[in-house]
Amino acid sequence: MNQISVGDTSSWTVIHGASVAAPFLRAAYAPAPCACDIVEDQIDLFLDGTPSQLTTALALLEKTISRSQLHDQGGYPYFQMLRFQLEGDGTYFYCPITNPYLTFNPSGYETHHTGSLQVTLHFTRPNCFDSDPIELPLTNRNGDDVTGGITLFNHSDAHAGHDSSVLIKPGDIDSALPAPLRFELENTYDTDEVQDIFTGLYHHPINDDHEVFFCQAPEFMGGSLLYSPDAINEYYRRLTWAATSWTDLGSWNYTNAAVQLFSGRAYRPILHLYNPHVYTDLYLKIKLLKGSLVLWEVEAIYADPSYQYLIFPPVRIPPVPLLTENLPHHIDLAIFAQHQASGTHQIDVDNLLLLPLDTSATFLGFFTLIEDAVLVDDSFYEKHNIRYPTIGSEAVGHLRQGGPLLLYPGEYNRLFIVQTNTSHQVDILRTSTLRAYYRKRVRLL
Amino acid sequence: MTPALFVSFLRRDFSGPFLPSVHLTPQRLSWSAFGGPDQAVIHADGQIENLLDLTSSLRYAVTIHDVQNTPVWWGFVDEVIIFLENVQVKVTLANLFNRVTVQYSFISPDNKLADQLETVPIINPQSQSEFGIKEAIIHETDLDENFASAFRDTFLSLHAWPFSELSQRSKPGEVYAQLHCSGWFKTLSWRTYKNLEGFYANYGPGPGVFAFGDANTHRYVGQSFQPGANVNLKYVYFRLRAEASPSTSLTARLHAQSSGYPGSVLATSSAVPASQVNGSKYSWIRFTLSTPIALSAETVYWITLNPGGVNPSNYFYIKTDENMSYSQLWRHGAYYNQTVGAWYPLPSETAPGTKPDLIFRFVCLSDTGSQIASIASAGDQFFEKILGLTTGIQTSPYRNNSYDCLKELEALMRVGTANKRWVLATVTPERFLKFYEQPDPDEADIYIDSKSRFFTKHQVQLPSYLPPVGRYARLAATTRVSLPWDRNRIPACFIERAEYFPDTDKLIVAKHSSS
Repeated sequence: MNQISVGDTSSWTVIHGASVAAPFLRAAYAPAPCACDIVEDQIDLFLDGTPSQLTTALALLEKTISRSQLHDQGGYPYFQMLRFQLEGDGTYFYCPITNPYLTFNPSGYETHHTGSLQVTLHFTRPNCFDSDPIELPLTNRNGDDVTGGITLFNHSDAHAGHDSSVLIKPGDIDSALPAPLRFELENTYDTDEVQDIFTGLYHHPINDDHEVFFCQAPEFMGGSLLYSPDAINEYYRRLTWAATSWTDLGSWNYTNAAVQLFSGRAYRPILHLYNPHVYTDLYLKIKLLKGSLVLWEVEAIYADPSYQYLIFPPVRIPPVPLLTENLPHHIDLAIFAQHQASGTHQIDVDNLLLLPLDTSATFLGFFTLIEDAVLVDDSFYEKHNIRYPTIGSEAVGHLRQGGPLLLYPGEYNRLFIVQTNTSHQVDILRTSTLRAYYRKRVRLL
Repeated sequence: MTPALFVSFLRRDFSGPFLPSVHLTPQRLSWSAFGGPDQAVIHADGQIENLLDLTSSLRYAVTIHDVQNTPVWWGFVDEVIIFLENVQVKVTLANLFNRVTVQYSFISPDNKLADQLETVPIINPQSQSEFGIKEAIIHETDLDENFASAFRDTFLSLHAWPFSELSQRSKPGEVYAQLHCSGWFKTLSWRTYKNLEGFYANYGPGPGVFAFGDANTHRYVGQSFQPGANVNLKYVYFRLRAEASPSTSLTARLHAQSSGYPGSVLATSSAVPASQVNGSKYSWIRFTLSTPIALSAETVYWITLNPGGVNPSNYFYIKTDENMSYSQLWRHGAYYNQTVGAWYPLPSETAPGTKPDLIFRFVCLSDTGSQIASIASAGDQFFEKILGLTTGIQTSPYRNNSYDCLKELEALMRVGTANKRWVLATVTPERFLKFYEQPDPDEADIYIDSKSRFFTKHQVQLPSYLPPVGRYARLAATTRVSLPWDRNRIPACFIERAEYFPDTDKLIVAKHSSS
């Protein structure tokens, strides 16, 4: 071990190895073995110096403890961390510490005035260590292996540049464990501001394609296909029905190979309507069908007419784990509707996105993301904000739902982003710029 | 590090602080959506003499606040338990009563139920001045008046001051005290509630019937009554029978009184087809006023029945009460002789010359929000202000069950509002009692993460000791739940009650005990 330090990004105190300064002499650290996510751990510190230096060093450690407690209560901005460097000029690895406290060796009060002291810093930490952030090359219809910012649209179709997801290639993630993601999404659309943002990460050993996640109107079986240059892929489906009971409006078919790509994981279907509907008593539900047999049926949602998109409860595809000795059976994803009033009803379906929920986060805006503002989400710090580059300031503008966004090493990872405006519309021509970073994560140093 | 909480007291009349010479540590705090601060347990350490002094803190006002002096919990000392080496001493307000009434049944010599009576209440003014009014209504059977009065007096004497209990500890232990505190909302259970207005009825017993609609001499029939408060009449019931097969429709009419009999018509009910009136038995027939009609206090009104025409073969009978049982003196029934053009008292077969009543029920309605305000006002002893609401739900305000105000309030709060939501209540640190509508579950504005921390929708973390009781919360730890889309699958969770343990900084969200 070249160096161990304690502190935060505003100041570090070296307690072991290169650049260690009196009275800190060395530290002995044997990470506690544990299979759990959170570890109760300790590090022994050996101090040697004048009594005054020892007193100053102890005060510094107590300050670290106090800052950690304050951070837990929102009174200090930085995590207190241990920082490890395995070799000179090598990568730093960090672990945030919580609930820290000091204990002294029994003879500490006698050795203090003679110039030596052994103390033990106890703490709780995540069962992993993370490096500094590393920018990820991103790929989509707007560029290959782009760093510094890649363009996103708010939908994906066959038109040049229209892509709402980015691919991260396996070779670009050097990590032993799923690695925390940091992304910076800049609103570059001058027409309208962003309210809510939905993100989801998908990972797969070989699949680098995204078309399976976007169900377009031409492939939908049911209703009438209508042309519009303003629709995704220039077409939408008009689905009409008259029954007041639950009615099958049609479906998308997933081939055996497509079903296999979904890998039995959960997805949130987000249905984009070409036109908002006008009904106040419309309910929709999704069923996964094998022919006429229902494999899975999710709860009905109320289709609020003030939204131009509808979000269904998560579905697993296929819904039940398989032996995987053969290709999974093909599946139809069908849309059912119920409108209790009599008469003819219609909805105009533009497309449906199956937003992956492997790891995902939703950002519910309580104020909007204006043009040039950047949503920053850092899954290492478990914090997010809006950065205003022109003003040079930041603020929290979203309620974040979801856990940390994690990238799976050795696999293709794809990040999907859906943005809505203050009128509850997924305005499909919205543009933004995305940068992404990850931190190398290891269990053992 | 657990947050520090501090305890302060005010004397019973709120005139100044009480500074006990003991060290106080809150152990458990709870809150309810139905009343705000609910229960608190405070641990006290100190010298035995100082701990014993805590017994005089009963009904003192308690406020627990954090280091920023933000009030966290408030209420009053309800019970003090002193744990001595081998003994524990408990003094409590639980069994204190300083206004006592006995409701009893009187047995006649033939062992038949003779009467239902109630003693005059007796009070202990000194106790009331110290602690506030705590009322007991005791129900007993088979008593006479002297027995009931003596029983009442003895009960008051034994209960007018705090109750104490001495018991042995299971094993010797440390010396300390516990203060068990209750929220101010609980004091609404100290007084009973009665409202005899809004429901006027005479169930007889008869005897007597009166035919009307059979001739012009028996054109209409009616009954007078006098509300004691401003009320809103909605329903009128009479016991009727049809003779042969009348084909008319009946209506009830509300009249002002003129010269002791029905005068101008103030309102007319919806018509009831004669086919709904049974031909072989007397049954209650309801007449509905489309909108409740406001009646003024201490004003005499008449309700009359119009048979819809005269037919000597097909007409109606109405049940009368020749015993004149209706409790309002000077109010009676009458019929209209169209031939003469005048109203007359109903005839009596059994006591000619008297003025029989009809058998009737007149039901008034009021917004349950105004009833809540009335009941809370009746039970109010310590609140600085009562802030009510309009619920949009109309029910009868009549109450005669001897229930306490809290029980009556909780029942109305569960009835809810026209939006199908409960009525909630809280008490502010300034002792303002506030009733409000349960929030819309689709507008959940509180989030909880996987570490059990509550956030506002602006991502501001709430301290564990300030739980969002009375609000809807949704999970922030996952994207698997998203409103409004998932309201059928996983609706937002209503935080009905929460309990906080300061020594561990743990907050437990629970359901209200009575829900």
